[in-house]
Amino acid sequence: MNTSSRLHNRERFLSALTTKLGREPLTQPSPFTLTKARQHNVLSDQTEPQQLDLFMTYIRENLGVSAHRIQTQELAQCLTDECLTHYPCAQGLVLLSQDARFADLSCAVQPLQKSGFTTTFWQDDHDRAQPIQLAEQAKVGIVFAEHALVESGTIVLESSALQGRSISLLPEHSIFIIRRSSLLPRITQFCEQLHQRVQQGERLPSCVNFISGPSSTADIELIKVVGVHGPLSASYVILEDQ
Amino acid sequence: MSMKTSSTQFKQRIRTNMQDSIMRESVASAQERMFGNRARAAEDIGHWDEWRQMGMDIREHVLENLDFYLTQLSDNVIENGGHVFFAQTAEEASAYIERVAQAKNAKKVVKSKSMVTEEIDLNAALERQGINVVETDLGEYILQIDDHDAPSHIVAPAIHKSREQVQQIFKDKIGYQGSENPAEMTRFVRDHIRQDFVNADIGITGCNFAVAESGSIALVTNEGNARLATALPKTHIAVMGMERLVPTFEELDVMVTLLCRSAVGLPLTGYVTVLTGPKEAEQTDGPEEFHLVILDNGRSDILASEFKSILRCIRCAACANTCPAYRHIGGQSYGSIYSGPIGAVLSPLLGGYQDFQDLPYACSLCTACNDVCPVKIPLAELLLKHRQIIAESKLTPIKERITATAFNFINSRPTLWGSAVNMGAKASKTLIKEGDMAIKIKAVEEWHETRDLPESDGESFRHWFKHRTPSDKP
Repeated sequence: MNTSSRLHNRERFLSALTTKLGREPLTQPSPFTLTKARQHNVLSDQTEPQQLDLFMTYIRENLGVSAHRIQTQELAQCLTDECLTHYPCAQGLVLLSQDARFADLSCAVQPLQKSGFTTTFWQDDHDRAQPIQLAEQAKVGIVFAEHALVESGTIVLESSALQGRSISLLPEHSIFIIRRSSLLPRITQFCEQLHQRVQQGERLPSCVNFISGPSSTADIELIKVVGVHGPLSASYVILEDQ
Repeated sequence: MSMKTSSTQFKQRIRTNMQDSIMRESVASAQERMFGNRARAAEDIGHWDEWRQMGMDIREHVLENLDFYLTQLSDNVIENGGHVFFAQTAEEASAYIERVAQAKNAKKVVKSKSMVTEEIDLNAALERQGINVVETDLGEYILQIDDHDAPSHIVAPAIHKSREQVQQIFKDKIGYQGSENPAEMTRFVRDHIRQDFVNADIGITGCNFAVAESGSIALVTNEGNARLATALPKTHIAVMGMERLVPTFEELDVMVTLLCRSAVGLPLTGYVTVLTGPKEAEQTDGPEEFHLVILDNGRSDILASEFKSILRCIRCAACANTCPAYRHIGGQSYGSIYSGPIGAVLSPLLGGYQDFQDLPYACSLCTACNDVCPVKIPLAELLLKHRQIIAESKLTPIKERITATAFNFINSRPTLWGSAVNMGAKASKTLIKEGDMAIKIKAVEEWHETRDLPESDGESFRHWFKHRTPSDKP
């Protein structure tokens, strides 16, 4: 499909706008810089170990997630233990990211299956129905975080063929694997990265998610309920890679 | 639901709602908590006023350069493989979305919470096509199945209902048998509409902020429903008010920070989802088709008017959470999908004075809303401006205009004013008995009804001031 058939009414719309404003359409925006830029100062006085402590405290106290700091070789055992903690009967499907950039989740397949779970990797085939259906049936979804944000206890995920959106969305329980070296003070630093990537001509992944804890609502009497349409609970596993 | 949510008179709505003790208790307690959460979040991050200034500067810059950024945004959405429809009116927007739905032969649509789709009455348009529309935000869902009850808060639309009322609605409408425990009811709804997400042909969302530099849209949510609506259906349609964008991700950072802290008192909400075009060919889930509908619907008129600053609004509802009038009359009294101070300013602008001319009077001009607004909109001044226009265009009741004209005539003539206040002071001594006045003055009658008037000693202030003895002087 060509470009023009996907863009509708722009000229008419914008010319009505500039006519009302009594000026010509702009070809350049007016210069703009933020005068205060307070966002860069948040947590800037904290050392890396202090930031990690703040992160651990925030996620435990405010997000109600379980959190573990482990060495990479402990990953398979830690993931299995987390699954068993949340599903002691060891029944159900565990859905694993195929993304192996930081660690290969194949290591967890055997211990999980030995405990009684079934496992499957996210499928990057073009039939969307089946992978979504598997994710819908899964009890646990395990994904890698690109980054984690200290201030808000946030996980940053980027969608990819190897790690679809559904893994951290449809299963009841999410496990996020975070590299300690990927910790950033706040959303500011990640937005700066996105801005630079766009400036370098990159087409951003179709879905970038900032996830802070399991899904929640306060729509009934403003009482917080954890677990709505997204996952009901979450675990954070921090890999000591420094 | 269109902008207008009620056909009864404003004062009648207020009288009815003020007798609803469940609503009043729910709103008061919710307002207190939301107010407290916001205040704490503002204090935690520090230098809040500077943050607000940044928010205001970003929003003003966007409004000044709106046509440039809309061009950049739409170019980038097209570049990413998406579709863009510029809609001048609500009807144009609805008609486009209907056409997309027809082309997809859609039977079911899942929606995440969006004020702008309420504004254009999209659900009704789609339902007329025989399409099943499911509101998936828990609050919106409660209202939808409760025979389309009107929302009472921009962020928490069902806040006027008690848990027992919600339990009854679920029991009557979707066969719920459980307790009034919010967690149990929420879990029931999760299971009840999960298949709707899986089976939906189209997901429709609003847009908290579009990012011009990349053609992305950002959704700020908590429940996970917006993620589901944009991950599972094959088509995603996002509808945005034309002013809801930022130039780059650097400004998105500041605006999202202000929105989350102001709306729910958190550094970030549960999900901030940044979507860029349809999914890549090699990805499995995510929409194959992405449509962005950019809506004017009166906004360009506002932009060219003295009310321009209202377009800075990021829909956080901090103004409603601090407003004493909102606290007492509740959101449904406004008779608009937009309630609270923002609703009182915006509804007459988008929906016309004919339907919303009473709203600028739902305000005591205490200006508390100005102080909490994360983008420093002078809400109280805008409300006053509305009143001025309403008075000048003779939309105010005739009795009020006659009284005001008489007052202005006397007030601008010092001698006449002097004798009038002396006469008034003497008359009030005779007429005011036990806080009540024997003669009713039409224009201020309702004002009287709720107040005890002070006893008068028959002397005007001016007379007393002129004749006071040295001992009275400081």
